[in-house]
Amino acid sequence: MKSSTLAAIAALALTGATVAKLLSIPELESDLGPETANAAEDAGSTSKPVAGADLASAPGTDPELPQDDRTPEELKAEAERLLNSAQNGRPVIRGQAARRLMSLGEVADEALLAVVGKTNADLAKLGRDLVEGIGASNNAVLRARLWQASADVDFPWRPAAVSGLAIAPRENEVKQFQGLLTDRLSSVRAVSVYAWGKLAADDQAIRPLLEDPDHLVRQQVAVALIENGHPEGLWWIFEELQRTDNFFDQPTGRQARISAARLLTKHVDDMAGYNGSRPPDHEKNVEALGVLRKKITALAGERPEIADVATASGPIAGERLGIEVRSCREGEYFLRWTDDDRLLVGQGHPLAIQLAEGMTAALMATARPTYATEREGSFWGEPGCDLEQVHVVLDDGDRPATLIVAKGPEPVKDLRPAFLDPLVRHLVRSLPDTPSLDPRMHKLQTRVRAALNAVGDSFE
Amino acid sequence: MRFHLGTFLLGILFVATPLAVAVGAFDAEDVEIEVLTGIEYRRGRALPSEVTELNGKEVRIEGYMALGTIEGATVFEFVPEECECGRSKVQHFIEVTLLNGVVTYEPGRIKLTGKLDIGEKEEDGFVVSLYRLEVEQYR
Repeated sequence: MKSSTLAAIAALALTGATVAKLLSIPELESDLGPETANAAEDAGSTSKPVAGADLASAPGTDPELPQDDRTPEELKAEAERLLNSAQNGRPVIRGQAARRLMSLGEVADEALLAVVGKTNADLAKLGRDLVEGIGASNNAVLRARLWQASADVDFPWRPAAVSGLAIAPRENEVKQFQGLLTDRLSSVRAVSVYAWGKLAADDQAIRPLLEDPDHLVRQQVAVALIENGHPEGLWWIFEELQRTDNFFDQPTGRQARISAARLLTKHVDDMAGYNGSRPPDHEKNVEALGVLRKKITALAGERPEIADVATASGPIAGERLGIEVRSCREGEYFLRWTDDDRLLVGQGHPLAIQLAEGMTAALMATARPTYATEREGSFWGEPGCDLEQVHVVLDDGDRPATLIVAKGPEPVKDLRPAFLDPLVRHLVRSLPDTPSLDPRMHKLQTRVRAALNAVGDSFE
Repeated sequence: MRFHLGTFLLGILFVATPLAVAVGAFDAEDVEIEVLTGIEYRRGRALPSEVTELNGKEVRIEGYMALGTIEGATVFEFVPEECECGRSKVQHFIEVTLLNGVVTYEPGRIKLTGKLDIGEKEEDGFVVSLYRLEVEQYR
């Protein structure tokens, strides 16, 4: 798979961040320049990385890398320095430090083996960037530790662990990645699809995910299909070019258009003047979309049937309240209540459910005193692992007022301020909780409740 | 009617001031933050021309103040989504410097206008920013 394509997909991680961020392998790989020459060549092992892995250049073989003439002691000291930076440096340098550390090869492995400990809790202490970086190691013990963590739903950096493993997936890991294709975390599903694409495994296993509620997962599937000789995946990317949806004031549709255009550029000669910054009904984009439609038809045949969840959608009228939960353990939820008492589940093309008449007005009756409460600031906690945002449009035409609670991987007692609890409780109780074949709806209240408990602790 | 020079000059000043501000605002180029933050980036390699052509320009750009912004500072990270959630890749944010005042965290989408500086900025061998924006204020 082309790394440029992967990087373009990685850009999508920013839209859903969504993907509690698609902690994407693609992202990781796109950053892998000369400083990460180590990677995954598993010389002598029966579990070799797949052929063509972009990382499969052994230390010293990359002509762009200067010869390393440091002494073993100097290399060890450098490993220690980078290890520390990857854990404790400014967030912006941690990933870079982790990748540079991994480029040291066995010296890095030794340094990591000394700190990974025995349990997943020990491993979690290394932080997200190092956990992800470990995936570039050839050391079997370290790789096994990542798989062990990936199987632990309480491990806070599961997306990062799977992302690391997917840098250079081994041919004998197909079943393990397949097990993750239905994971509750969209970011885990997405990176597993990515690994699946690299392994060129049976495409039938990933095709159902073309209907995944998360658009980044669908995008990964589309790319995996395209890169493995199934150009019909282009139609799912084309659909993204036509999105005009928002999530309150976040232009999710425009973000998706820009990312999809970058992605599609890799597969068609030119974009015929399409510009994702402009709406799809802009005169130039209408013309461009017509040209692109013909090109894709020539490449991939007629547009296949695409599930509603994957089709382009527009802005929602009457968004009044919303809650957005992103939990590194429990998953992501994007919920909105509208003036006409609809519950919208998801971003992009959301599922709409009609609630009892007056439900939104009743919720607003709780929201108004909540937002009128005298308080200091609008944000409690610290970013890192779990987050909830409550959005309320207090009056027509207002920007949404947002209150945010967030925390790192460790539990924080009573993090959510007490004045916010009644509103959150009221919102959650309005959610259906019946079993459903639609994964967005199945036991929705129970799942959202669990995610909120993971964030603010004091929900129940 | 007698011509009163002072009133005339005052009138010009009254009209011209907002006009000048407006002209300044019109000079700024609207840029979608995703055009910057969605790029393929590898250290030391050329950035896309659609990005580099914005270097040094006055731009108007919408996004979010990153969670974890330090109150009272003069610098913050500007991101395409509220939740970067502790993860900060160098191509995923614009480093904003306030020329007047200090930062108070503000949730929700905000619009900034200022001069955009593009290129790798390194500290201790690590790239710490690709995009930098100087703004007078953010409200």
